[in-house]
Amino acid sequence: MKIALFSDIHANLPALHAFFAHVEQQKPDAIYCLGDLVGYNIWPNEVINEIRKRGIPTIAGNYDFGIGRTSDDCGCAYKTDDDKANGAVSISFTNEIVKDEERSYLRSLPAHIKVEFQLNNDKLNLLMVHGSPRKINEYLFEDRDEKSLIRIMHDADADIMCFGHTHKPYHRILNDNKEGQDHFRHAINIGSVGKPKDGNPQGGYVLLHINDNSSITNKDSIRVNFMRFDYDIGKAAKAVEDSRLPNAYAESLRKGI
Amino acid sequence: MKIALFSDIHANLPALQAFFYNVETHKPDAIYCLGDLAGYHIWPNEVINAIRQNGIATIAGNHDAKVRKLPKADGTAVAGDWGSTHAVH
Repeated sequence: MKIALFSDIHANLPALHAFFAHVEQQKPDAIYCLGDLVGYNIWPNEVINEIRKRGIPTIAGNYDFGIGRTSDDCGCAYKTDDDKANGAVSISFTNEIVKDEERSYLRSLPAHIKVEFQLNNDKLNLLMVHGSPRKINEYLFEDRDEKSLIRIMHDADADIMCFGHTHKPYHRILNDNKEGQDHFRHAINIGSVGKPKDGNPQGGYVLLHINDNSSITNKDSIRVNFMRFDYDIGKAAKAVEDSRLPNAYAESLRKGI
Repeated sequence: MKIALFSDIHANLPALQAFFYNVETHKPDAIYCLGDLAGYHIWPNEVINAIRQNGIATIAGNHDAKVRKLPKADGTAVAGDWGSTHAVH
């Protein structure tokens, strides 16, 4: 079973088109979208409609949550005053251009998707969230304390947890070992299709491989591929520059930061 | 949010093709398959592959679970790759 997971497209239509072309070659058996379809670029409606028309199960990202409710707060953690000012332009611009039907789609997106595997008289739970199981805008970075990450996954009953939001992909295998019994949990950040922040400007997504031997007792029985693809960054950056969105977002696309 | 849910195709490829044609006109936002792709008709592989090709989130039905345990046509033990196992009834 090959599952493709993608998120954080952020209204970047050239990146989304390139993602679809790339993922099609991988022939996944199922495909899920983990939110943040809009924000920071000029194509929120088009991105929404490309995903809807393919019937892809999707959850809300914090930006989708905000725009769905016509809020002026996207729940993003802006550090500097410049970042905050830029963010305010992005959300007001996005609110201006998102159309009614598209907004109503964002408004009714689910928060999480949980898939339960019963492969061999056992259970393997795959949980898909945008930020964390606790909060739609909680950042789970790679250097998060191990005990904290285990607790989050334990409380959510997640053996495999896939999430986005930080735009910095990683895979951590944690052992929630109880009384000498191994219980491996996988925390998988799936990166970003349309606004990567790990220094690599290529779009990114994940392929997750589950087979009939996948289980919580064997940490190598679940395989994760981090996929990166080229797309027309120039076109996406120029679109930002030609709009009232801050040019800083165009520079971020070019540098992948 | 319009969610399309379908199940129990039971290897009936003409029905599946007509379903895809019909559901497309309703423009669902998401689509899920609730199992039993195989059993009772002659096109289990085609049905499985049509659903996989569309990347549709699918769960196992009891018939799909049964097929996983069948030996391959050449008599060797099942490898577990349920997409390629032939159904024998």
